[in-house]
Amino acid sequence: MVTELDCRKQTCPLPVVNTKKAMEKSTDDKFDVLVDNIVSRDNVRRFVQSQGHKVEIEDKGGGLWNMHVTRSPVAAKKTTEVGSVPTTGGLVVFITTDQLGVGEERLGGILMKAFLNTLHDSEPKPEKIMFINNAVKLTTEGSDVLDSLAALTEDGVQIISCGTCLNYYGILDKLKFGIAGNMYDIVNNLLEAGKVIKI
Amino acid sequence: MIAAIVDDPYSFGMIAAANGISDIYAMGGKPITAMNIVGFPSETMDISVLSLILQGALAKLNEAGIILVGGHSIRNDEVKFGLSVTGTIHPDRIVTKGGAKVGDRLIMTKPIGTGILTTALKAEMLPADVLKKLVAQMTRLNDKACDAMLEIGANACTDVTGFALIGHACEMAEASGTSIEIDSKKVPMIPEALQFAHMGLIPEGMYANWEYRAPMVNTGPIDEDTMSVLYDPQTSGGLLICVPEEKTAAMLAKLHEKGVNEAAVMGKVIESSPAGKIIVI
Repeated sequence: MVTELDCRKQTCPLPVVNTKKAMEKSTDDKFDVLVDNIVSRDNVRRFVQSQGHKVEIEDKGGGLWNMHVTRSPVAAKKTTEVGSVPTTGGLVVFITTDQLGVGEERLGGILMKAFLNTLHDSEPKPEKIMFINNAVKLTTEGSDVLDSLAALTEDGVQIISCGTCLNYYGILDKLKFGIAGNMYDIVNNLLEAGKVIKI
Repeated sequence: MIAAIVDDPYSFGMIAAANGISDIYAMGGKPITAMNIVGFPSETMDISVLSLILQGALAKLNEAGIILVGGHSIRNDEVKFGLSVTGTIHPDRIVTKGGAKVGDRLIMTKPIGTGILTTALKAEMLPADVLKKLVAQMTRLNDKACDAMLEIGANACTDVTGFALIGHACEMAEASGTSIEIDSKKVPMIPEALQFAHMGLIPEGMYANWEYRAPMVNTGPIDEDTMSVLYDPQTSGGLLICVPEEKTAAMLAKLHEKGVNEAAVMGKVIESSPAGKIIVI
C-alpha cells in the first residue's frame, strides 16, 4: 500500500511534521508526498533521509514534486527526537510530589530530604530520577534537597524535571539540575525502564 | 519588526526589544530612546497578550537604560512587534561595516542557529530545555559585547540577523573592499541546530539566503547541515566584530570577562580579487 500525502500550499515546517506523523501512524512501506515548493521538497528530503529511509524525487513540472519515499526496514520505526533522553531499561525513580508520604507538610518535606540523601548513599543507584507536578520544586532554586541532587548528579544519575510543570509554576529559569523533559521523554522513560519506583 | 517566534508573549517582547536595540550596539552607539511598533489582531486575541509583550520589551529597555517615549499600533491579522530605537554616538567613532582590513580577525559573539530552532519549535519538536536556552540567548542584549568592542577597539562590526552569518559577512566584505574567510568548525553554533537542520526543520529564509549569496561564496567540502546553519536567518543574533590581529586575544578576553562567554574567533579578513567573496573552510 502507498500512503499519499498532499502537502501542497503548506509552509515550513508543516510538510515535515505531516510526513513524520504519517510515517509514524501508518505501517505502509511506501509514501508519496506531493509538495509545491523547493523549501518543502528539500526539507522533506532531509527529514526522510535523516530517518534512514530512501526517497526518489519526481519533478512533475510547474513547481510540483512528487516524493516517492520507501521506508527502510532497518531504520528505526520510531523517529528520533532531538535532545530527547535516550532510554536504557535501568532503574527509574518517578517522584510526583515534593513530600514523602501523606501527613503533616513539614514532616513530608523532612522525609523527602532524608529519602533523597539515603538514595544517594545506597546501592544500586537509579539511572534516572524524574520529577513531575510540584516535585519540580525539589530541583529548582530554594529547594532543601539541592545538595543531595548535586551528589546524585555527580554519581551519574540523570535528573529530569517535567518542563510543563516548571512552566506552570513559573520556575523554568530556576532549574538547578538536569534537564527539563517533555511528556515524550517522561512516557518513554517509564515504558522502557527496567523498574520504576513511584513516590 | 518581527513575527511572534515563541509562544510566551513576555519572552517575545524581550526578544523583539533585544533585536531592535542591537543595531545601535553594532555601531558602537549608546541607545537613548525607543518607540514601540505594534501590529495586533485585537478582534481575535485578548489584549492582555499585548500587555505582556509590552512588559517584556519594557524590561529589556530598562535593562539597557532606554526611555520608552511612545509608539504606534495598527490592527493586523498576525501579531508583529518591534521597536524604533534612537541612540547617540560621536561621528568620528561610529563603527561601520566598511572598516575591515586584510589580516583582521573576526569574532562572533553569540552562537547561530536560532532560525532552525524556532522552526523546530513550530513543529513542536523542540525539547523544553533547548527552548529555555534559545530564549535566554535571544533575549540577551549585545550591550556587553559592544562595551568590550569599544574598550579594545574594532575596525568594523555588524549584527547578525535575518541575512545569516554569511549574508552579513558578505555585507562587511563588500563595504570594506575585502573578502572574508569563515572557519566553519570555529563558528559558535547551537548544537541542536545541526541536528534539526539534518531533519529538514529549516526556515524558508535559509533557502532564500543561500540562493542569494551562493554566487559570492566558495566552500570547501562542507556538509549540507553546517552550511544550512551558516545561512540560517538569526533573530537577535550576536555581533560580528572585526578586530586587528594583534588585539584579537585582548578582545576575546575582554568579551569573556564581561560574560559574553560564547564569543569565538571564527574567521579572518583576506585579500581577493574581486573583493566581496566569502570563503568557507
